[in-house]
Amino acid sequence: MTLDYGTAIALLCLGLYCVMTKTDLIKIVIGINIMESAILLFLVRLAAAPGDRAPIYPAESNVPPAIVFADPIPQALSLTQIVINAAITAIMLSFVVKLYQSYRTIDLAEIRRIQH
Amino acid sequence: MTHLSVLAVVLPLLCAFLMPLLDMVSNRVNRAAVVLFATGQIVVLLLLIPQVAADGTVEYHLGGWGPRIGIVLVVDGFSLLFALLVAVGIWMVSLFSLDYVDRREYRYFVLLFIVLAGVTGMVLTGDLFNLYVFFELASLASFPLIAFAKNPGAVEAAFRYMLYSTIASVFILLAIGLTYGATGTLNLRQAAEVLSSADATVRSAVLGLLLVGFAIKVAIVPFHAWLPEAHGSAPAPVSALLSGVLLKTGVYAMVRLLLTFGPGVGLGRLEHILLNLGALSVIVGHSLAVGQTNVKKMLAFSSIAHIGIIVTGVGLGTVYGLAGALFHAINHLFMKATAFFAAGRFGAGRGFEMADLRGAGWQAPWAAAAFIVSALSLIGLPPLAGFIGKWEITLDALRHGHLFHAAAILLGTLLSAVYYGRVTRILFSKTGQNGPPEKSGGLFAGLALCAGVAGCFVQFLVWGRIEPILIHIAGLIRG
Repeated sequence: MTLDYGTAIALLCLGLYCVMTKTDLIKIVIGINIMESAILLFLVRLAAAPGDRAPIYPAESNVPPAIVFADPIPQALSLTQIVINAAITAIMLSFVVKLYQSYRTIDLAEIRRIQH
Repeated sequence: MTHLSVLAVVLPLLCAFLMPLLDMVSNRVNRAAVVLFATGQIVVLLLLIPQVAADGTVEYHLGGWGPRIGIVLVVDGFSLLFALLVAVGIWMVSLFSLDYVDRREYRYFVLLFIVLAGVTGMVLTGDLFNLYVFFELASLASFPLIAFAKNPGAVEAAFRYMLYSTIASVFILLAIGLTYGATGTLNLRQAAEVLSSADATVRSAVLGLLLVGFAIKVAIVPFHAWLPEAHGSAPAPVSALLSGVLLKTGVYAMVRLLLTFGPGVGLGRLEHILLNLGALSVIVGHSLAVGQTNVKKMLAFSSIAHIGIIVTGVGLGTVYGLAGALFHAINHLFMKATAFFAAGRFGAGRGFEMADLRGAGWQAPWAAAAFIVSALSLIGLPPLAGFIGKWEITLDALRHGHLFHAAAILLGTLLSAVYYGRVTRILFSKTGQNGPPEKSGGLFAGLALCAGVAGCFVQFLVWGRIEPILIHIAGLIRG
């Protein structure tokens, strides 16, 4: 349990570190994606513990009380988050393409230098 | 049950997706639709007022599903006020854009109306995750709008803005996930009730993450680095949209979440932080604005300072402070939108560097006059609306012994008088009067400018009527 959340936090820090220190635009986009993945891991872990059943309510009425279902809501949230994530990545990459077309480089520091 | 509240979210979305179709018919139909839908949005929200005034809160369950499973729209005074604010803001922006943006660019209006749908949904929703999704929707549509300025610098600014905004979103989403983990619900009110009895570590983590996330979104000072570039290099109406509308919705979400989750968790400490960061933003924003050579960047730095004033008002932790902050948020929309519109007019063909703007005021006298009115209001001179928000917040700060914070606002006023005065002198300098004349033909742009200028004046006159309403709303928010 602690390990799962720990991994999520470690990934988040890794992504944040990547975004803050790298000047390569593609690496920055990758950093953002790592951060988003950390959140997804966190949400999915929130929903289910090992051994939980898929949240499909059985048709027969005599459900054994011992069965624990995974919580479907965080899974729905992660699904939405994946869609948002895809949109963010797409727009960011299209900006990167635009920047490359104007500056012929994808290094943020280089771009700044050209601007001034 | 009335469907008005969901209509306010659906209507702009409908308009956004109609745009490409209508554009195939005719460009004129398209432009008519923009005016029609932007006005229709305001009408829908105005129709909601009597209901909210009578019942206090109007809840709408989407698809008839209750709050535990379904999505709930909650309209109360606070959310209706901000929904109206953003609707009026985007009405002004879309009118101005009709004359400012290339006639064939229907894509611009698609994005603009998606922003409207996003911010309206965000303000009206009663569900944490929906708030996040709508906020993302509005932000995602606003990034490409900046790039419409069609210069590489604007693309770089948009990228940077997007970077900061996404990091902020990650923090906010993490806070939402933590809240769900601790409470088992995403409904704002239910979550707040359960959270107040949750583990202290979780509560502080949620509040801390929300604070940092929204501080980045609304550009409170240590987190403001993205704003000047993004607001400064966007096309003039988009700058007005970002400063006037999107920052305000960030403030809305911040106030709503922090004040809903805060009580019983350490609201006092939180407000202390907001108060100090707000005052810091006022000083830093105004001081950096003085040194700018680009008019739009100067206005962007001034936005940081004004958001600082609003945050200071919230941080005072009193009903009067909060009411003042709400009023200043309304005013700032009109003042800053007018200033950006006017800059867009007299800067057309010249650029926005002050050196190129010498004598531009002679060429575009009406735009320059509108700029001066908005500048006076931003400085905070009495016959204009900007005075009241500052006055209320400063008075309340003094009343509660926050001398330093009141002094910060007064110092900021002096500094802003300096830099707006400098721009005015440059606009009406004797040299360089032979620049390109004001862009001709601007019925809609003129209308938007008039609305902005009228907003600066009218609100001063109606303050007596608005004040009790705002104090009532502020009282409700603070519980």
